[in-house]
Amino acid sequence: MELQKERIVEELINILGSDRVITDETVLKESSLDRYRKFEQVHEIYTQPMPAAVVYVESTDEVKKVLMFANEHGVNVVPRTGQSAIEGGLETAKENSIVVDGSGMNKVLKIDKYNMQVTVQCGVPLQELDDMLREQGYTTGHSPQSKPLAQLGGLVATRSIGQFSTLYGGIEDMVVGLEAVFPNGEVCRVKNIPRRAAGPDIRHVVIGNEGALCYITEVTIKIFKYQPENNLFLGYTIDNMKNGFDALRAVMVEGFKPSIARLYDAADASLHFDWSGDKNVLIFMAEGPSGITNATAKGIDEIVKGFPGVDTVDSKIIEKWFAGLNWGPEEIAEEKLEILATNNIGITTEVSGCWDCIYEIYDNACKRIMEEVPDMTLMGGHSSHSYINGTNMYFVYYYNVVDCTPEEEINKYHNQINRIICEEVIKYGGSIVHHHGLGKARAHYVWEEYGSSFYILDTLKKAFDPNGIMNMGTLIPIKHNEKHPWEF
Amino acid sequence: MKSILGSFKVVPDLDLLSTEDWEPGDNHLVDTSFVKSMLNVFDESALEMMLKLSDMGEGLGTSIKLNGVTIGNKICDNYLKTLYALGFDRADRIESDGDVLFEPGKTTAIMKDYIDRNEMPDLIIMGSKSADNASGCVPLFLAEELKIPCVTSVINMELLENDRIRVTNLYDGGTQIRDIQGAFIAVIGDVPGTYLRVPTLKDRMKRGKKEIVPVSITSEDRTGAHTLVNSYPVIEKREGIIVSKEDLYPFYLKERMMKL
Repeated sequence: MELQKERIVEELINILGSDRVITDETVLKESSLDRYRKFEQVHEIYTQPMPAAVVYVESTDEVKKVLMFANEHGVNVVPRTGQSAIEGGLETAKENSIVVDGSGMNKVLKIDKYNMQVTVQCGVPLQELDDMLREQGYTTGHSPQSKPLAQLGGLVATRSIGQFSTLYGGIEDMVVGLEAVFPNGEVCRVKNIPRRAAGPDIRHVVIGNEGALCYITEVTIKIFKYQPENNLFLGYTIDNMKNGFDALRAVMVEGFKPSIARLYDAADASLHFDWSGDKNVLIFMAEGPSGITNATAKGIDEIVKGFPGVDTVDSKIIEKWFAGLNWGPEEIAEEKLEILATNNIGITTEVSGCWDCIYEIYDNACKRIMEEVPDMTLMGGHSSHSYINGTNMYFVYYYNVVDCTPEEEINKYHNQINRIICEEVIKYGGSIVHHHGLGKARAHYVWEEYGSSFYILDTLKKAFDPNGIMNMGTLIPIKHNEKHPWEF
Repeated sequence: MKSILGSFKVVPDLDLLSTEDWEPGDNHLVDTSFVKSMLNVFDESALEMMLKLSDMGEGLGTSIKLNGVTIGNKICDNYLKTLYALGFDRADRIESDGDVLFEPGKTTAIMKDYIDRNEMPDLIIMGSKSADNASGCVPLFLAEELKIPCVTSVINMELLENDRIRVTNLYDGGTQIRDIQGAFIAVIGDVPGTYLRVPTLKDRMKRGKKEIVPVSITSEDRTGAHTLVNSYPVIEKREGIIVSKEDLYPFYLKERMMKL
């Protein structure tokens, strides 16, 4: 029998004290969703089941107690830190869930400059950590666009990636060790070591679990020397997107590791630059010791200029533009006003694919969306994370919301666009999600994404969360409409 | 009402400038050449207000021509194409040979010349000032040149029957609402939360591909219209008298101090 809300709240107060158990209605409503339902959010419409409480934990022991309580009574738990999620990962898919907020666990525990790693609690904001490290001549190298908001627990849980990933890697390359609490109360610590071959890398059970398997309480990540004085920016316009992808590939295949390697199509470029016109834009940054940055910039310049239809852009423009790329609370607040005034909303969906199919994924998805989805006002995208064997594609799209209520918007537009993108990606063998996380938004395509390997994910979920309390609906849907999988 | 002319300016998005960038160069100007442009916020409100008036006109069975004009370079062309995509009948860029930043007189002269070459609109809508100059003078100067009234700090307009417009503007700590008939300039003030609506891709394909051919107007054409012939200092006397120090206490302070 399910616990009543009042009983849940009472038990949580017994564990944490009343000052850290929030039941204010406005807080509960705002905590029932994330930016996946942006249109509902700006209209302050809340369609998801209401949580019972938002609780603020301040220690691993408190996380353990809350999880054990929830596990015993079958209460859904949604782990949360920076609240920058955008794929429904923070939605409370079940009535009377407990949102467990770790932002109070915000201590930097150890900066180890000799071993080049820093250990932090899950609620440490990345911007603050990086600012502190930079003052001392170091950096995390991790710079997602959500940097002003995001905290380390969520960044690891979503398998996030930053703008300098081509040099520093994604979060999975940065995590050294961690601590996580499982629903049965087990507190597991993975020690800090450079590498080991003692069985599978169990860190990867935790990294990217999106709160569906455990609660991350502590993370150790690598740090790097911060040498901005050596940064070199390169910018180009290029006529043809296919050539743009090929230029990116050539840079990666030849062994160069710029910290930034980006290709913007003309539509997405028009959001950022006045000078791009109907051209696509290539941007690179070389970072590190001066010998390396000079050689990297020179090598990239030679490669890119070998492609047809390339013109050089003043690097100062690129440098200045890049400094203003991240989004903080002010930008989000302004976006809300603009959406309310214009009924025009911008969303992103990011995917990945190998070099031999990424252009087809991009081109087909864009064409289909413009043909099949009404009221589109912009359709484009950019590649921002490249590898030796492929790259990502970050679709950027805007549409006017016409003749529908805020609650109807997600099925009329957003989910249909996601469906088309995922269909094209699966057709070509790419991944339906590069770095935002499956969340609940694309969880309905998890079987197509995993194929036969779904068995591994499913078994992990059943093993670590047998009572089904960890962020239900994330990674694997609770309910799935076979006939209309994209209407939820 | 047959036509509305909206004048707008494309300005650099100054929020994108970092603290270090706010350094004047040799020309005493801050370099904003690398900064993304935007519609001046007051002009954006003005353009959206024009579209709302046009929507109201449709409701009243009146078709209103919307015309837009800006003075600037090729960067403005995307904004003009957006206006076409939104249904504007004409969207012109005036390519002036003179530098008109910080020159409201020249800007006014160019605008007057442009209006003289085309049909006088029934209503001119402009933002109150621009982000990069902020003189706030052009609408008032233009009204004087055109010899038509000017209503400032307009926050709302409503189209009524018989070609009247109900204008709400801020005035002396409150708001005024007046019904106006006849040509005038509406100067749009601070209307928070107004943004220009966004045309669909299909509208852009259908209407937004029109080539922008700049209109050339030389600013020197009007410099001879006014010639300085003489100047005199303005005498500004205070209302008061000069009291000598000998008279100060016995005749002015003594009595007052005894009352304290």
